[in-house]
Amino acid sequence: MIKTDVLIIGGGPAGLGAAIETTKRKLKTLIIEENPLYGGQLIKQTHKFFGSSSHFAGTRGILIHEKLHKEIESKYLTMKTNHSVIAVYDDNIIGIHDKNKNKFLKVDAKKVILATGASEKTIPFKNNDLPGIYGAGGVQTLMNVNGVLPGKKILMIGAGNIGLIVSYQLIQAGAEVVGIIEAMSKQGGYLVHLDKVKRLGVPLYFNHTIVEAHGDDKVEKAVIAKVDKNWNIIDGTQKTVECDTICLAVGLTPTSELLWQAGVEMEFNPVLGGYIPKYNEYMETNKKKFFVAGDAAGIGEATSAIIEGRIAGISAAKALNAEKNAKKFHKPLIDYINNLRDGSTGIKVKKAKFGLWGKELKDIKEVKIRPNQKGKIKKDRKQPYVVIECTEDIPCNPCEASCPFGAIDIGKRIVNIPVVDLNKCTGCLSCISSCPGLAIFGITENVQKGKVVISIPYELYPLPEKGNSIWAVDKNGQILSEAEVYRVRKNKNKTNIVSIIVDEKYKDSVRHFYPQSEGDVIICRCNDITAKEINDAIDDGYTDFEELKRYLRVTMGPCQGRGCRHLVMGMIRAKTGKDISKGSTGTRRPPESSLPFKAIVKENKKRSKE
Amino acid sequence: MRIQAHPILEFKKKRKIPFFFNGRRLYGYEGDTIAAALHDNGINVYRITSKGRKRGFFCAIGKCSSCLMVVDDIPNIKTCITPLKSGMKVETQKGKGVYK
Repeated sequence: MIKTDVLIIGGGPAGLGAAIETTKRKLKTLIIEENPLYGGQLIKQTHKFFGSSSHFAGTRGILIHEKLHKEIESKYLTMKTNHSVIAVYDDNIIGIHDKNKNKFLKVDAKKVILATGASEKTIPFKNNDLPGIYGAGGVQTLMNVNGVLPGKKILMIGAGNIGLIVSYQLIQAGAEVVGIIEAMSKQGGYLVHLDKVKRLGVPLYFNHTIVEAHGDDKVEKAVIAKVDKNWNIIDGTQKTVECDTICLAVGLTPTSELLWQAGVEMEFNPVLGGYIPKYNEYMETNKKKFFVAGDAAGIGEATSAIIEGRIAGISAAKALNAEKNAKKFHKPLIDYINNLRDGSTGIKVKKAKFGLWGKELKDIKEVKIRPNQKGKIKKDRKQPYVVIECTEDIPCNPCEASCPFGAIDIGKRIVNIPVVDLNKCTGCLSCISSCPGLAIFGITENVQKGKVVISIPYELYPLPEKGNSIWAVDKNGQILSEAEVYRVRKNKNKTNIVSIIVDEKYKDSVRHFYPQSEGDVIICRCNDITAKEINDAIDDGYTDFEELKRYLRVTMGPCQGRGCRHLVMGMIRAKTGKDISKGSTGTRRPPESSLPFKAIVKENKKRSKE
Repeated sequence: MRIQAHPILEFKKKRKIPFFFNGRRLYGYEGDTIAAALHDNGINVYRITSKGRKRGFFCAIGKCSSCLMVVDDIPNIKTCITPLKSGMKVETQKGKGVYK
């Protein structure tokens, strides 16, 4: 029998948050984690988090995981990974399977914090069990933890935050997202996440659903169809989409099996994702021994899971008389989490939680949607200024915190729309790489006549170099013009800033770019001679066809110049203005087409005999 | 398909380790789960149900039962959360699996 003060079931963000608080108060803490790695969803989240910059916002999940771990007093912590909790018995003894040694362990804990997380939901469609169909979290683990891509052509089902974020991450990892299917008429996730995939030209299918998957050993294609208002399939709208992977991002449901076993009072709460335990704002359940936190207490995001874990940790410490002033530590955390849920997305969760806690929710002031900019731009302004394209009430403030000049204002409520004061903005562009939504851009006018420089947050591979030719694209991923990389600024946080120079008419429309495909323009197929080699040679003074031919061996291959002669002549004319009807176009000599020497030799032998 | 280059993540090269899939010698890397190593080798079918349906990788966190396989003669192993070990014997599970 293992004895401990606090047992935390689940080593994800909520469990780690709880351990910070219990170990700080010198409580012997045991974390049981089913996976080989602890950290839960954090270890696969490569994107920067929303929230307050005082609570890890603007930091990538993978790094938050490390930071949390550092905050835990390791002296008081035992972390057991690859161990599964398999039972909570009637006498409150917890049964554990040590999968490393294949042994059964029993734990007697004074307090238990259930931070068991969530499971992915699935949806019914024909062949929905075919290999190649994954949960979105599964795909994230596979690519971001294991470093293995699920496939090359991905069809994403669901345009909530997870569907949008994972789509973007798949593209970052080198896959192609062939479409995002959403049954609703608009995205469920934040606009900034949608914009990120739109800029990359990912096709969006709203009012659509998946009907069936095809394939033998693996997905080969999918049939999708339009749905009506009641989500019924409209016959005749079916079409097939070629893909090798289908990724389901259709929601999560709390993992509550152990809570049921523990005898915690449960209720069905559709807003919070399914069956959830009843608990109060201190994360205490009706059973004095058990506390809950994170997705197990209702689906949320990792940021609030960490905070809920910390609240639960303090509550457990209070119950063990290890914290006499719990109120003082609880209050800022509870206030913070409640403020995070003030936006139009969070408010539903906030209402559900308050309902659960039996508390009245007063004074919900709607967030004023205001323009992102104020102040005037001087006509002759040479330094850059920023354009913020963040129009939703997202609980997020790293842009405000990142500005060294106080030019960005969010105000008291974290869900307010950020406003940049263009009179104060010096054009340092630090906010661009701080924004988790990649929704801030820089504009520099008066660089060259008729041109503007647009600075773009860039998180894709490979990073282009100054001078590279690229395609400038708009917010929907449509190519507007050919452009050039003007400057590349590398950032430690890996949100690099790529500035491109475009015609000034594209000032308000260009927001992204595609690299031009690498590769050569081949003029002479026989000898692999490129347009660049020919143009360079002409520039070097080989302006005569005969000279060019001798220098590069162009038109001298087996095809005898059939394929390239006219192209080369055209290039000379274009570069030099020479009249190509005059002067040499080369001498046509035998053999007209290639033949074996043997053939000619035989003919000679015959002749000599005669 | 291993990710070769990534704008955010760095995947450190780890030690290559051999394992057996249905008697075939394959390689994975230290730190892989069994399922990830199979995936990298282009293997998608992990088990065949009693009704003959093929199943593969789904949730990656040991919650869905899709990836159960016979590992070192023990059936119903969640391969998505079981670390790969050198010389491991991994087999496609048929039906509910047989404990040898």
